[in-house]
Amino acid sequence: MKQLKKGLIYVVAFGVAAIWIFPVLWLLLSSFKPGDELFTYPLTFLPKHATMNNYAQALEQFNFLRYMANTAFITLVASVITILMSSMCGYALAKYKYKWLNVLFFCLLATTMLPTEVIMRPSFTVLYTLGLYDSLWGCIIPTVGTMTGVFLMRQFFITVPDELIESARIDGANEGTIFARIMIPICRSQIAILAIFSFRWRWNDYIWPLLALRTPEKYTLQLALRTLSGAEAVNWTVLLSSSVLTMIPVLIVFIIFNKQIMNSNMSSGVKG
Amino acid sequence: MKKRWLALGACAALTAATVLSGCGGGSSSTTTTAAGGADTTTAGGNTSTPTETVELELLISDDTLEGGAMATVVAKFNEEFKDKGIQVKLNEIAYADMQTQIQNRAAVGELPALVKLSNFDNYIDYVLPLDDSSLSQDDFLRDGTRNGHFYGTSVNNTAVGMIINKTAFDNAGVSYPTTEEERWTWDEFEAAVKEVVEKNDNVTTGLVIDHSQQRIDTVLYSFGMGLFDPADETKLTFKSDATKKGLEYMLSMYQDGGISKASVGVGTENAQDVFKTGTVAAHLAGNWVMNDYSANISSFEWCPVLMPYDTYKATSLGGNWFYAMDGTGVEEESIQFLEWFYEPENYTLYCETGNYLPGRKGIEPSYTVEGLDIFNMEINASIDQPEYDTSVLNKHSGEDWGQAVRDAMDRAIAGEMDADGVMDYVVGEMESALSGVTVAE
Amino acid sequence: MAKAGTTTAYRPKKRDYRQKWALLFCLPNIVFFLVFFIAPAIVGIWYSFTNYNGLKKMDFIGLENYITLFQDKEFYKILLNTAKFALVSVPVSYCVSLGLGLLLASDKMKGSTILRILIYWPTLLSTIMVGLTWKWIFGESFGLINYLLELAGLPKIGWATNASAAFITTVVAGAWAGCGTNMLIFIGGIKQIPEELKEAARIDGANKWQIFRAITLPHLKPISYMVIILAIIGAFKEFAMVQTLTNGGPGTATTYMIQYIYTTGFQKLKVGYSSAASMVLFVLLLIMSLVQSKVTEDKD
Repeated sequence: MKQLKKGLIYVVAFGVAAIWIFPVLWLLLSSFKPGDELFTYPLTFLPKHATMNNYAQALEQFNFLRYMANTAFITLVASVITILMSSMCGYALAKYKYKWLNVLFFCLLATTMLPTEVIMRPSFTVLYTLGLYDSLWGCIIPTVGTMTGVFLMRQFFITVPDELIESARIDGANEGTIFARIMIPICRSQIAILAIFSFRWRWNDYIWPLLALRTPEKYTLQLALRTLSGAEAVNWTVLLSSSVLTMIPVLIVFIIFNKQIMNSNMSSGVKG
Repeated sequence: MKKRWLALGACAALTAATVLSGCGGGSSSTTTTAAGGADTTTAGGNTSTPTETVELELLISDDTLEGGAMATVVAKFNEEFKDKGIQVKLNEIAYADMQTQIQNRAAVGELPALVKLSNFDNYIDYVLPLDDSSLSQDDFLRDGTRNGHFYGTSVNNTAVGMIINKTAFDNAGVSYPTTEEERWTWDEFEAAVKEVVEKNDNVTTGLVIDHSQQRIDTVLYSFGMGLFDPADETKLTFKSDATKKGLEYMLSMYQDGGISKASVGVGTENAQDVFKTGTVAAHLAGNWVMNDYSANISSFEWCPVLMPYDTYKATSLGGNWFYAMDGTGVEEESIQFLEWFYEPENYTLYCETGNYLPGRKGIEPSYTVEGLDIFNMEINASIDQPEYDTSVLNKHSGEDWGQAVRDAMDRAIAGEMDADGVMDYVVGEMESALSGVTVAE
Repeated sequence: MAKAGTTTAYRPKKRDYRQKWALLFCLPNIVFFLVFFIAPAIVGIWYSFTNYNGLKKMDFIGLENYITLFQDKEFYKILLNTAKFALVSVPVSYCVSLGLGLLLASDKMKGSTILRILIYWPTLLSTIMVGLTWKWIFGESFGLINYLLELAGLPKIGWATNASAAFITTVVAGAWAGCGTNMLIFIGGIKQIPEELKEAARIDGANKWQIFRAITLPHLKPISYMVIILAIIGAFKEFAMVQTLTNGGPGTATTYMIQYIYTTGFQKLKVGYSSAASMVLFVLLLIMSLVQSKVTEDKD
């Protein structure tokens, strides 16, 4: 009976995943199709004449390594700062009770409510005034204070029992130590989740690179990819293959941090 | 666990460091040859020292997509000018990002030396007049003169035209026009594509039209539509019986039993993609699709033909402008490049590599794709109203009525308004966006 | 509210000391908020009272943009469209991602890593890729579903021309592209529930559903609050994906707020008007979030 139930769960899980992944699989397979197979009727799932040509073309057309290095630099630095800032602020919002913190919370929440286009122009002025124009730091600094990160960490920290903090305070630990030595390790897997998100946000971001950069040597992958959609036409073959290439690092990061999520459990924290 | 985090952190720091150092090197090398206004000392009169190279930044979109014509010509230039102190560097960005980049760079005075784009009127305050150069408006097909100054050179022209599924037409034994005498009326065209659909099992749609204002306008022009009164450019003439007839004809295409397809008409499906499936007899597009179709269609043959007409024969011209920016400190060199670029030998190379219709008079490129002369025939046969309307709209720089005709057609195809509603909507949008225009009585 | 009580019980000096730490923790974000949000937002508010065209023209025109906006019948229609989209897509994406989170939170389950990757994968796609992929499936002329329907001898579905069908595609594709994110957030939340609690309940004879109701769901409350609030804001700001998918059509059936702001304003160089519309949207979202927080707090 139990076996049957377990088996059923597997069938459901993989069934959902199969439907879910079907479009992605199609995309993946299509990246090996020559241009004349992308739009045919009826469509075919498997490429008839599979070719690596699209990938060769993508690598030839773009300075992939350069763009990848720029994007990696932006992503890594921004993610580290984002995680730090979000954890600190999220912790304060979750575990300290002052009126102004509530106000701050709504102020930060409000930052997600304006369409990007409205503040794009003034944001550019700010960026330029700060001397961040045409520098990779211009794609880093303006992005590190993300509300979603703060919100995420706040909600995670809320569920951590207050008793942990209280007992540490009685033991004479100061607030900084409590945060760094107790709270951060407890929320390891949640920080891993934020890391996964932050990596994806920055890796796929094109708004700030568009505003901040003007020298081709500093362009990021997403800016380069955008040149494949033109005024009247889209180079689908290269766009497909380079999109697939671009996704690989993000998936690797996901796999690395997923291990963190898997190996952690709340109970160990409470016991300590 | 701690160790793993440390390792990750170290990894991040290491990568960061290497990339940083790489960038440092990169940026320092670019500053020495910067094209911006900062380095006026090297860019100014210091031509006596040939070791100092002026680098001209050319901001462009779509070049690689269209075959890399500019890259080819620029490579030729850089080779010829290797020892003459000028080098051009392409900065290719996405078409969608051009406006943001130019506006932002204009705001902070860091404009590129040269720009190739479909529009220059919005940035006219920053464009360098070419009055003192050897280039002159008389040599160019499209009007790049504003307020008495010559600003923009029409670097390549595009024309709206019809592409057909030749295989399907041949199968059905239906003929198609490639000379003026054979040109279809819209009724003849409709009969022809209906026959093609009937006699080909795999062809289900007669015609797809791009989801584009310019293409819709082209059809309407053939019915006698005009945006502005030819005698008075402040009078809007869009609301007319001719326009109504054209709109009603177009809307009938999208109804049940019509020759077209509403999913394409409302813009959800891309006409170009749908035509590639081979299920469509004809595509109202333009010469720019030729490269894409040559590369990405192999299951059937296609060719451009002359467009149908009603009251008039009409096509809409479009294309790109090539211009220099003012206040960059490298204006002289920019003009020098433009003059070199338009020398027949170099300019012909440009047109041939990109299969472009030349914007400069007297150039006769030999193309790698067949049938481009059809588009020149369209240009020669067309009435003047489309170019007149364009020229009036150009005078409203900094004002934009968006894509009102297209947006209204979307709504009309979806049944939210009728032909009269479309006309009222368009005229309303034009009146509110363009200063000083009124509806003609 | 016992938590607040414990903090106030300390002597004022102690309080100041803690408040300083709280301020220190928040300081980077406060500075960031002032520089990268307040400053640009104030400029944005200023734009909304002008006829700024993104270039050189910028004259103060008072409330004209707001008056035009509130007189535009289409604005209300689009607002209703957007509310409808939020009303359907938020519960859908909440339930689907919670379900996926519950299903894949257990590490004991073999293959959960692979499944998580597969579910998360779509969130990595750019909107243009999402649009292309879904056109292969929902495409009216050459899409898979219509092809299968045709093979089965059934009539094709007008994904692009039927307003309801187009609406469904936006909801389904939106959920597909976004649920991976929320699933991970839920996994994070589930991981924080002490295993001992569930164990104790199990010993007491509770079944899986009872454990879910009595332990899992209450513990996920803070996470759910966040997921819902962000999903609502996200739904009201949906733009790029829908634009590539349905182009807001047929007609204006799937045109949502940001696309309206974009096409009526930015595309026509009417930055002032767009800014005014954005401010209205901003106020609406702010009110909704405040109300939602109030409701959540009262329940506590």
